[in-house]
Amino acid sequence: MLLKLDNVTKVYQTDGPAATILEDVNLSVDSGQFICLVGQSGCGKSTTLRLINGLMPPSSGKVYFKDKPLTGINLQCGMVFQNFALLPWMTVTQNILLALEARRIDRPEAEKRAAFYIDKVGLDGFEGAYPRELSGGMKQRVGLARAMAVEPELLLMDEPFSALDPLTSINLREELLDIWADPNLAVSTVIMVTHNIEEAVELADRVVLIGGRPGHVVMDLDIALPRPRHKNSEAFTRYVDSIFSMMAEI
Amino acid sequence: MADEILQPRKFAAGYWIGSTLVLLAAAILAGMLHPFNHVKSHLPARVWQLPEDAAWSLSRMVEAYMLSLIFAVSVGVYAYNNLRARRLILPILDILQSIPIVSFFPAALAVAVWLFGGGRIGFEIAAVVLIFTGMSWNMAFSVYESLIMMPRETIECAESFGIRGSQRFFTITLPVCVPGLLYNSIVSWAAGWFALTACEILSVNNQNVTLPGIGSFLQQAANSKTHPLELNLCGVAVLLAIILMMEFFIWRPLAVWAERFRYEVAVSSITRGNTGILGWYQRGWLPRMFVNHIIFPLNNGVNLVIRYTRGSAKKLVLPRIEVPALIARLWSNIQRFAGWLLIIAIAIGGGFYTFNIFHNHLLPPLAKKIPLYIGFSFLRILIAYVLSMLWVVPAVLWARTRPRTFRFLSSISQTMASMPPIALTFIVISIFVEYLHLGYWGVEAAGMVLLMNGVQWYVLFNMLGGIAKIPGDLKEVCNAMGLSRWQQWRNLVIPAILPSLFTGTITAFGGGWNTLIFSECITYAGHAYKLPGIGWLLNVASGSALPSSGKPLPAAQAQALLFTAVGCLIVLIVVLNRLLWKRLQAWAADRFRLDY
Repeated sequence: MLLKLDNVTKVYQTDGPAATILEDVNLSVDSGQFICLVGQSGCGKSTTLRLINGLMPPSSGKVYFKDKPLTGINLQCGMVFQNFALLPWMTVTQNILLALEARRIDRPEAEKRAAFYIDKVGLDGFEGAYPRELSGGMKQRVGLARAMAVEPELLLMDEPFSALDPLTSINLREELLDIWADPNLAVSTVIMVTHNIEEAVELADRVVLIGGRPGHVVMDLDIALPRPRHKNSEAFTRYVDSIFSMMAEI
Repeated sequence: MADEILQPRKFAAGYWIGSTLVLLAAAILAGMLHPFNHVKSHLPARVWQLPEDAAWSLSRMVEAYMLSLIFAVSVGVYAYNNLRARRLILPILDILQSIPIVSFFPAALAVAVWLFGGGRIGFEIAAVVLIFTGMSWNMAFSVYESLIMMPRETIECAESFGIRGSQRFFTITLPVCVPGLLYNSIVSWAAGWFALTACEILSVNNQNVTLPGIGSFLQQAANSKTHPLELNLCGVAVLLAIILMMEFFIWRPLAVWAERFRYEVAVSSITRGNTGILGWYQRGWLPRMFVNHIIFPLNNGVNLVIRYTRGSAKKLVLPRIEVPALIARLWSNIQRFAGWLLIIAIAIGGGFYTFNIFHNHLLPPLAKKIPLYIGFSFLRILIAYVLSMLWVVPAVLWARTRPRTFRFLSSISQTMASMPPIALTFIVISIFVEYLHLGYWGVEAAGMVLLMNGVQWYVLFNMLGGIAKIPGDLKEVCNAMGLSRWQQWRNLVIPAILPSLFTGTITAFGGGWNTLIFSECITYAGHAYKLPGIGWLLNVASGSALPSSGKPLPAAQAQALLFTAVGCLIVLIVVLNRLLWKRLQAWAADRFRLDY
């Protein structure tokens, strides 16, 4: 059991009444799985991701990573952000090196890794480019390369393709599946947050629907389709419909 | 796999604060042991001492700027990280920003004399601190505002990848502040040159202490009976040369370099086309030699040291920074009460002093005229403001579509805003009083021109900035709709620059209050021209001679007068800002915002 959320509740306390975002969320993730968290905006999926990463502690309940409770930021995860989160004054390589330096990795080793992962995401030749010179898809590749360069076991993605155009998203989805399936790369487990149900059914082994106020796990669906999945197949459409109808009922 | 034990992170800032305080204490101790006892005052002003004077002034400015930079970054970052401190620091900075520089003089001088016993080093430090008070507040604000505009994702990303401490400071926190700091540094330097001339002749206990520098040179040139015009021209020429050289060799290349730190993709039209000098800094042989042989080895050495002291941490879970609960509670209590304690201390001190004044009848009869004089001065600033707007608004609208004019106006406003009034007195007096023989109204006109010079450039600068911010697609839409020039102005341009107009007004009035001291009491060729107003009153309270008796006020009375006058002025300015300008600015910023 790689990751386990045990009755996790998260309450936001600002100047005013406390808002319970998540209540009694239970989730177990095994190594090697591809999970998609779906739900409407504001249901708490991004909060769940940040709890998994350790960016914030749960108000009650525990997050277990490899059977140990998480007490801080989990450095064995790499996170990819919706709006890329690149520093505009650093080149592609420097952005990746920043994450590696934070792990105290030696400079020569770090440069080798950065070059390897830049090549892996297909940005060979753009090592010295600044973010403003890149398209949206390329920027997200940099974000992906940065998350992979720290060689995490768990890859966390927060709506990574929602800021990109459809064609770029299609390309990146295929590349993501290739990276996940590649046995030579450290990434074995992916947890992705998305509001696109079809994307979730296309990519994931399990689709977890979070909904209701306060948010909790409404549905945990295993997608038993072989990859590559065809969007027009009946089974695919049935899966998408069942998720949609469940969402409508919340 | 290495395991982690939760360790509370040590309060690292305490280390920096502690070492700074120790160094400061050592410096003060050293100064007290060896005060420079000979106070140089050269009269008459000799032209060949100008380079030396210029060097002195420049060194003071640089020292004050370094101090301001450190202050701005520390206070800005602290206010950003600490919500409680924020509520206290921001209003204080706001008030400090609005009050005229002259209010700091008595305190600074008193401390200088007390610590250094009249030695020269005390006055040098006092001058640097006074210039600092003209420079630092807006820079601190700018750091804070740059930090709160940082996208949330960048912060989360830094947390997620474990980037913190000094790495986060140097790679994320500091770079995001650079564009705002640069712009505000330019404004601060202009204010600094302004303050310099006031700071180089300090009057303590009815005695004048003259520090060598361009400001005192200009002051003495104005007083000289033999060659006022020539001496003034030389002094102004040197000052102008320094300002222009700084503009070309420092600010312009820095502005181009600072563009890379912006999160928005906009490229300012002001800085395009100026990569010549920056290019030489980056690629020329001399800078390259310097960087390769000095900077890089230094950098590598520091990195090596850091690597060895930090050690190799194979942590897999980064502990959250936890301060022990007791200390955290204590600290937050201290902070909560510190603010109140400060206010109470100021109130008690001020109240005591006020009581003392009234009890001992220390106020000279002149004090009764304070409200009247404030009224006169306010009227003058208002007129100067209106006159400035009369030419600034058309100029800005004219420059909107002409980039070259735009750049020219920006440079001119930066340069002229740095000209202290003392540099222009000889021109205006010569024209209005001596040449045109206009008598009293000539002096008023001269004062008005000086006042305008302290007011108009801020309005211009801010409105130019506002014009540059209008998004391109709004302009395209207006063109596509076929709006006439007048319709575009009315519907797009004027609403869009209204927020900048009010920001510029606040700074302009601030500049106006600062300029008053020089525009209401003008000395030239040994003659002192006076206008009734608060600036003149403050001048008298700082120790210059009364017109009626020809002698300055006794020290205690002068101090009481200064205290009262400055107090009334501060109250008026703060009230005006809060009730009028800030409201208008907030209304304009909300009604005419560009994002939706």
